[in-house]
Amino acid sequence: MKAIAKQIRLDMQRFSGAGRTWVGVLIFMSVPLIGILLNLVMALTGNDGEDARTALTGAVTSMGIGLLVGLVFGMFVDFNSTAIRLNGLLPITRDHQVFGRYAAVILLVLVQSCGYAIFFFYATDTFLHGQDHWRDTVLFALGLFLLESLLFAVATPLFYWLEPVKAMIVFLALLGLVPIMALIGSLLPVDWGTFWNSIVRFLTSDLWRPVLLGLALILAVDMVSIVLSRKVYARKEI
Amino acid sequence: MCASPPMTTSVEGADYALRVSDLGKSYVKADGTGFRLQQVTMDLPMGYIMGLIGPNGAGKSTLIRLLLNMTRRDSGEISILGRDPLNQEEEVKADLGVVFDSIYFLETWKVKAVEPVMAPMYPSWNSDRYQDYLRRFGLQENRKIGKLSRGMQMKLMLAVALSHDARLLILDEPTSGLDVLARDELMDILLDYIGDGRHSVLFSTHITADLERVADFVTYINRGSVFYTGPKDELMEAFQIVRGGPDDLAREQMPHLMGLQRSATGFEALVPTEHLKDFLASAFPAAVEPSEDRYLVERADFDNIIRLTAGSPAAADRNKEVES
Repeated sequence: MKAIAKQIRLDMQRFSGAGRTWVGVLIFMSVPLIGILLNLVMALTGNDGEDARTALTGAVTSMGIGLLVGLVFGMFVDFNSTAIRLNGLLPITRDHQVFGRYAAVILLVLVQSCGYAIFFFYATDTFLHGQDHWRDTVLFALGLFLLESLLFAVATPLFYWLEPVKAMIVFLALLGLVPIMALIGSLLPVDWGTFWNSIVRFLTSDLWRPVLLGLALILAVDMVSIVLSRKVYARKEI
Repeated sequence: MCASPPMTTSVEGADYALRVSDLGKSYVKADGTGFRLQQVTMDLPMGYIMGLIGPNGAGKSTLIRLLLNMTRRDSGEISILGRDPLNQEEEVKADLGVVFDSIYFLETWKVKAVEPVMAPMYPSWNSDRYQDYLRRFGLQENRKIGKLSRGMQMKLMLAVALSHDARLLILDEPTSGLDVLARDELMDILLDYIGDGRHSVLFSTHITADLERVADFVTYINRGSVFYTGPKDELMEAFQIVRGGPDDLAREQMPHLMGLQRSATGFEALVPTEHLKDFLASAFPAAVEPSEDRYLVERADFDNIIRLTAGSPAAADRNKEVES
C-alpha cells in the first residue's frame, strides 16, 4: 500500500508539473469550480435561462473530458523522454506503479465527479427533465464518472504500450470508431429509439440500478484495463 | 560475437554489494542488428569501488539496466546487497543510488521540485544532507533542470543519490560531461562515500584515468562478454604493451599476443605478461630480453587494453581461438 501511495503522490506531482500534489488536485477540480462560478455569474446577471444552463453544462462536461485527456498525457509525459528512467530507479515495482496510477486517476475522477454533482445541483434542475432533482444529480455525476473512467481505462494500456503521441492518435482513432459504428447501427433494421428508451427506463426506474450497474461496469473495465497495462508495462524496456 | 572466458578473481569470505552470475540478454537494436550480453559474471565486495569499462556498445549500459530491472534478463542471477532485485525490488531500490549519463527528471521541473518528489520515496532521506550537496555543487533551486549544464544535471542526480544513505551507488558514465575539476571532486566524493566500508560503488566510464585513481575492482566488458573481472591491479599487471618496427613481428609470435595494431611505422601488441617471454623468444632472430633497439615493453594501461582488444582483428581472432 505504501508503494501505491507513493505512486499516487508522484503522479499528482507529474500532472501538476511543479512537484506539488495539491496543485494537481486543484487543476482537476478547476472545471466544476469554474462551472459553479459561471453559474453564479449567470444567475446574478439574469442570464440563466434553461438554454444557457444546458450550454454551460455541455461546456463544463466537455472541459472535464478534455482535462482527463490532459491528465493522461501529463501522467505519461515522462514516457517521451529520458525521464522515463525515473520509473526504473524508484523503489516502486512496476505493478505498484500501474496500480498507483489507476488509483490516482480514479480518486481524481471521483473527487471531480463530486464537484460536478455540486455544479449540476445548483446549475440546473431540468437538464434531465426528471421529477427528482437529487436523482438527476446522482445520475449526471455517475454518468460523467463512468464516461471518464471508461475513457481512461481504454487510453491507459495504449499509453503504457506506445509513445504518448502515437498512443493519443490510436486513442482518437478508437473514439472515431464510435460515430462510425453509430452510423452503421443506424442502417440496421432496428428501432433504436424504442431500444434506448427501454434501456433508459430500466436504468432510471430505481436509482440503485444505474449506480450498481455503473460501478460494476467501471470495476470490470478497470480490471481488464489494469491486467492489460500490467502486461504491457512489464515487458516495456525503460 | 566473440567471447573469451572471463578472467575472474574472487574475494573469499567477503560480503557482497553485488553478485551477478551467468547473466544473459539478447535483443535487436533499432538499426536491426542483434546484440547479445552473455554469461556475465562479476562480484563487487562491500566497501569497494568497481569500474565497468569497455568500448561503446560493449554492453555496459545494458548491464546496468538489467541490474535495475529496467530491461528483462533472459538468464542468470543477480543479487544486490544480498537480495534478489526481482522479488525484493522495492527493498533493493530503496538502498540504491543511481546516476545516469543524462538527467532522469523532467526538464520542465525546477531544481526545487526534486526534493518533494524524491524525499517521500526513501525512508532514510536526509534533507539537510541534500541541501548541503545543493550548496556544495552550486545548484540553484529556482533554475529549470533543462537549463542546467550536463555537469550540473549529473551533480543534481548525485545529490539525490547521496541523500538517502544508498548502500550501493550505480553510476552510468557519470564523468562524461565533466571537466577535470568536477571529475576530481566526484572521485573525492566516491572515495569518501565508501570510507566506512558499508557503501559500495559500481560505475561505468570510458574515461579510464578516473578508474586508475579510485577503482579497487574492474569489470571489462567487450562485445557483450566479460573479458576480465577482478582487482584493478591484477588487470594492469596482466598485460604488457610491446612496440616494435614494421618488420619486427614474426608469424610465430602471433599466438602469444592478445591484440595488435599495425601502422606504417611499426606495431603495437598487447601481450599477456605470462606470455611475454614466449613472445620475445618467438621473434626472429630471437630476442629473449626486451631491447630498446628492437622492442619497447611497458605496462599496459586500461586504454591500451581496451583499444587493442576491442578493435583489432587479431584480438578477435585470438578470442575465437580461445572460444574454440
